[in-house]
Amino acid sequence: MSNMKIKVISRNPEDYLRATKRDIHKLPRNYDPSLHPLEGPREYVRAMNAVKLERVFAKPFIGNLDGHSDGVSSLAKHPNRLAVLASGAFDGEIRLWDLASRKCTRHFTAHEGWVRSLCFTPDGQHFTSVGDDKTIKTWKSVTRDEEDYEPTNTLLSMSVVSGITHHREKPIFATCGEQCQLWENTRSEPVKVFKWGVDSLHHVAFNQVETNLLASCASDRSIILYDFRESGPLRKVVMELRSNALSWNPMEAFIFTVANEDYNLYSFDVRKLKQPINVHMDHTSAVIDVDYSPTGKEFVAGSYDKTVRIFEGLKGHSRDVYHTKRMQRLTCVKWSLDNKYILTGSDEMNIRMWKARASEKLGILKPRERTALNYSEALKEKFSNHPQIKRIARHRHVPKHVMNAQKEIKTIREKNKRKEANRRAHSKPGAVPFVAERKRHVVKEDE
Amino acid sequence: MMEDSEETDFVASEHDRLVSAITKLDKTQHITEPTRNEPTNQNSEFNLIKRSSKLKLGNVVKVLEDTAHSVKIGKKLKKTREAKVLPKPLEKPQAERIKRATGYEDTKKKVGRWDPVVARNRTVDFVSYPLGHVSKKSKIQPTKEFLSKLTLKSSLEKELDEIDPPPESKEVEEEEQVYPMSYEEMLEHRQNAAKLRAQQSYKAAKEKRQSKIKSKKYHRILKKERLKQQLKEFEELQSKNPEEALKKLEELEKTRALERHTLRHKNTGKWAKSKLVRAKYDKEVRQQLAEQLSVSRSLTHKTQDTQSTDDEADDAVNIPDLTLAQDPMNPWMMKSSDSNVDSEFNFGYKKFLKDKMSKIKEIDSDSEEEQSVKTNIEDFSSTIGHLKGSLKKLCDTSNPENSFSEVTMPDETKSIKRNQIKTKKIFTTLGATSNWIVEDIDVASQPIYGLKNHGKASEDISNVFDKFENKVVGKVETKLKKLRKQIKKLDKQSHKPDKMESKNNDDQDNLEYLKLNKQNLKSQVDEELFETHKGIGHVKETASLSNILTTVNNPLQGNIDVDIDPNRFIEVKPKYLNTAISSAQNDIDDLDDDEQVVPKVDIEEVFEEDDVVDSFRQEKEDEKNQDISKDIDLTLPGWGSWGGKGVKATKRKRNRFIGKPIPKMPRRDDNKGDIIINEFKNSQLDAHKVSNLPFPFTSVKDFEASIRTPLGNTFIPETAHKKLIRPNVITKAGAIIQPMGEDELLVKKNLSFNNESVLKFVTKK
Repeated sequence: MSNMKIKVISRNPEDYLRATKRDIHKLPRNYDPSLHPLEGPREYVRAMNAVKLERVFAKPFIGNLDGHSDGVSSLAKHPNRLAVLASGAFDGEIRLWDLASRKCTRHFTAHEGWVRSLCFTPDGQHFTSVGDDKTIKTWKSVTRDEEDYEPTNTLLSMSVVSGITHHREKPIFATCGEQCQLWENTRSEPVKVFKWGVDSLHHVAFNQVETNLLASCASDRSIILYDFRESGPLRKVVMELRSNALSWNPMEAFIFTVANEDYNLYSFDVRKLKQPINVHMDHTSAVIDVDYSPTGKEFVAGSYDKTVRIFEGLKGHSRDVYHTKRMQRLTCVKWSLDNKYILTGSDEMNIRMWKARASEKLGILKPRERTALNYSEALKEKFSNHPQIKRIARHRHVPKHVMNAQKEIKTIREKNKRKEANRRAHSKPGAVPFVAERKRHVVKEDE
Repeated sequence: MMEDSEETDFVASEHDRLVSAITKLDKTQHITEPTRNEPTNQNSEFNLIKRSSKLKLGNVVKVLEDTAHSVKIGKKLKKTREAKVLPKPLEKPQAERIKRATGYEDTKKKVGRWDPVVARNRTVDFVSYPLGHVSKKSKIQPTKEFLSKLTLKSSLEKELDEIDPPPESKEVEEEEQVYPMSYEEMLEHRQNAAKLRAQQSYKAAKEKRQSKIKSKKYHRILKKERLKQQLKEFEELQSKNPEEALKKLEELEKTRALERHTLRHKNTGKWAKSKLVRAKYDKEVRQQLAEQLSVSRSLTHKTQDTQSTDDEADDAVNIPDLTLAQDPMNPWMMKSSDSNVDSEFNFGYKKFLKDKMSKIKEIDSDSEEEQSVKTNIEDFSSTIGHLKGSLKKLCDTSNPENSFSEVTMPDETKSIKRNQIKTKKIFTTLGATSNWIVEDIDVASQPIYGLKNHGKASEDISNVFDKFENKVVGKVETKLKKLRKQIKKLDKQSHKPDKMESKNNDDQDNLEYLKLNKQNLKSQVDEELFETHKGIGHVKETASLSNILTTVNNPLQGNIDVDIDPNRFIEVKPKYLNTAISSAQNDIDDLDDDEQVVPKVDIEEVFEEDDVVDSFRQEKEDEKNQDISKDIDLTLPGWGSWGGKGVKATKRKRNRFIGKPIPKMPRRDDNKGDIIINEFKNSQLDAHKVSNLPFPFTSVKDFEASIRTPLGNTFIPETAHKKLIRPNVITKAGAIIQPMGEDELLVKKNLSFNNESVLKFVTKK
């Protein structure tokens, strides 16, 4: 009995256990720079590869929301739901979209004539629309009963209403038309009316950070700043041409950008309205709409030249340009609240979804993947001024008409420059002063 | 009378009629003034023409003019009439403009509070969105609630629910309780308390450990350190708070006195007694005991360290010392300075005094030097020269330069004066701290003291000196006044532009001012996109495509035979670099070379798959072939003869038009084995080089440095790599980024120490 052997199946744990990171033998690495004499060139090559790959993967167009039977006139993003979007059309129809499934969840005719503008209330339960029929209608964003399909509130305005914007927290919204009017949810009459000058206003926007400021664009080429409390209108800037839209920077309380009819966008500091702090060029036709990214670092602009351009707030030229063959004149653009997507509405009845960064990989990234992407991003930035890398990174295909227009603009600009130089050369010194580009476009600042 | 009245009535009516008839003749319409027939309180609103029914006070006063009593009343009335009337309100447009202007100024100011946050976000290396404060706002669901959403209900359950709906858990709207401390404050407070406790425990442990140490030497060192520390503190105090310093000095003196008072180093202890027994026979022991005594003597010795007495005292001590130095038994005669005991004890209070003295000396000599330099520059003409000459004769051992300290020269700059003032200050402060450390250097007395030793010659010189001094003092005073004025002026000027600048700054971008300097500059590109139409680049693309095709095809051919000849490999000798770092390592390698056989790195083994050796040699061959210049062929095929495929040029043509190239210098790597030397720079590389300095950089050096720092984890450690590649905008997938909120403004640290409620809370505990 004592010599009894018991046979047991024994297995090597290596066979059945998964390898963990502890099993990987870590080789110590010597970082002594003298051992890596070619680190510069190697990183350059890596950067070159990264920038080439970026261009390879630059496919910004995600999808298309169709359903409207007329051009899209306005868009509104839900304040706390990323997937919800409301859009209004030129035929008075409003559609609500589920962006995740790219489907229309609800549609109804809200106004006679255009839906001029849309905005959600801060809690996202309702949204308000204004139309050409001088009505301001509030709708429920989620419907359960039959009743919910009717507007919860309809306000009749004495004059035309062309724009609407909601206060960030309070139940107050502002409309513009012949004058800027301030409304409260519970009242049928405007709480306040701001009037300065006689011309009509076509766009109004509340500041989301300094919440008692709002600004509007008037058809007499001016931008008017208001404080909705006691002081009313504060200041007016008159530009050379009309501003079409205005967007406040959500992270920098005193900065706003206007989309102008003269192909440019202008960023202003509220405190220095005498001249814009930056002029953003590159569009080849009137800029129709502008919207800031939620990080406040960039903004997107849609133009009549059928392209969407993305600008960095502190830079004068666009970072990227989006276009498709079928996309016609842009009417409205929005940057989604997670800083990932751009939504554009154009007058050929479609709403398009784009990636905010053309070559970004969507979805979940594994840590290693993320670090690799970060590394290539860092490399691109590091070598961004090297001519070859810059050439690849900033090369874009654009439609022929855009290129031709650009050429034309360039020659016009050169001509003007030459003319000015000639005039300067042949007149008394100091008679033709140098005027900075930033100072050229503001006509005056009214107190 | 009756008739009369009747007549007048009649006449009046007649007259009225006449007038009306006449007026009717006239075609123009006259507006008759409305007349009031009966008294009323209300004015008709159609009664447009104003006529003041006011009583004019002036008329009333006029009536009363004559009497003396009425003069007073008149004056009073005048006064009342002068009473202030509110100004007319401004016209509406004007008023609105003012309202707008003030409103704008207010908003400007209010908006300015965001400046710091914005500036920070712009300069900081990376910002992560959604911003912290905003995300906190969103309610965090308790786990139970969250999990309850995940459970799926079966159809039966649903039906049951319909029939008997489960009692809805009442959503208790929790009113936000007012806690004495906010969460952050609580955390901070806890952290502080924990830190304090930890420190206490560390200290206690340390004390315990130290108290167990028996080594005397250790304690001595400890004491020394403590003394040093005290002295340091004392010196700091002296410069800041002389009164405190005085107190401290007294304490220090007291400790010294106490030490003197004790019996230490007096050879009365156990150790000394035991040694004494042996002292009779052992010389070393005797010496040790003597040293002890000398220490005690040095401690009890009253420090004589005034400057003037030092030298003399030294002299006096030196003489007997020399004679009695041989006697080791006499501890009193052992000169403390040449025993190492002194150096050991030269740390505390004594050292401090010594240092002070030497410092003063240095300062003196410094100022003297400066002044002497100045004297060279000045041409104070004959008098100075005279004086100098005489002084030079005089001064040999003593220090007569001091006499010059007061005799400042007119062109002296401010700096020297300041120096002087400083030195004086030091003197005075020292004088204040204790009366026996330092003597004020008596300027007037010293030259006399110096002169005393010398005879008659000195007398006339002293006269000259006095005269000169008087003169100079006067001049110096005037100069000083001038200088002071100038300084004042300068001060004013310097203040003025300051103000101007500050104003300008206000106008300037506050944002720019607030921006921090970025530590890691990153190059930015702000240029137009390089935009082309698809049609344009087409031709080029096809060309490149064909290239790609060829390149794709070629390696296929090469890959056919991957047989590597094991005999062909590069023999590599280890090469030691001429670096300072690796020299030590190289030495070791050299030593080991004989015994230890370093495994030979066979390159072929490393690159088993691809034949590097062969490809390298091929590359070199190609390079060589490229470099060989070919015949210059100037023939024109078909010119003068038939041309075409297979037709060769005639001999004549060959001789005439095909020339030999000019022979080139041999390549530098011709016979050097496996090496390629590029003798000429490659012009293709120029396309890759940066031609101008990118925007945020101000110097080429900075830019180059930024390029030189590697980012990859092949070149730098993982942590640094992670830090360097962090993107500057970090966003979370699917997280809504709310606009900036006001909580972003109020980031205050150390709240707990200002918050009263917290203080209360803490004191309760």
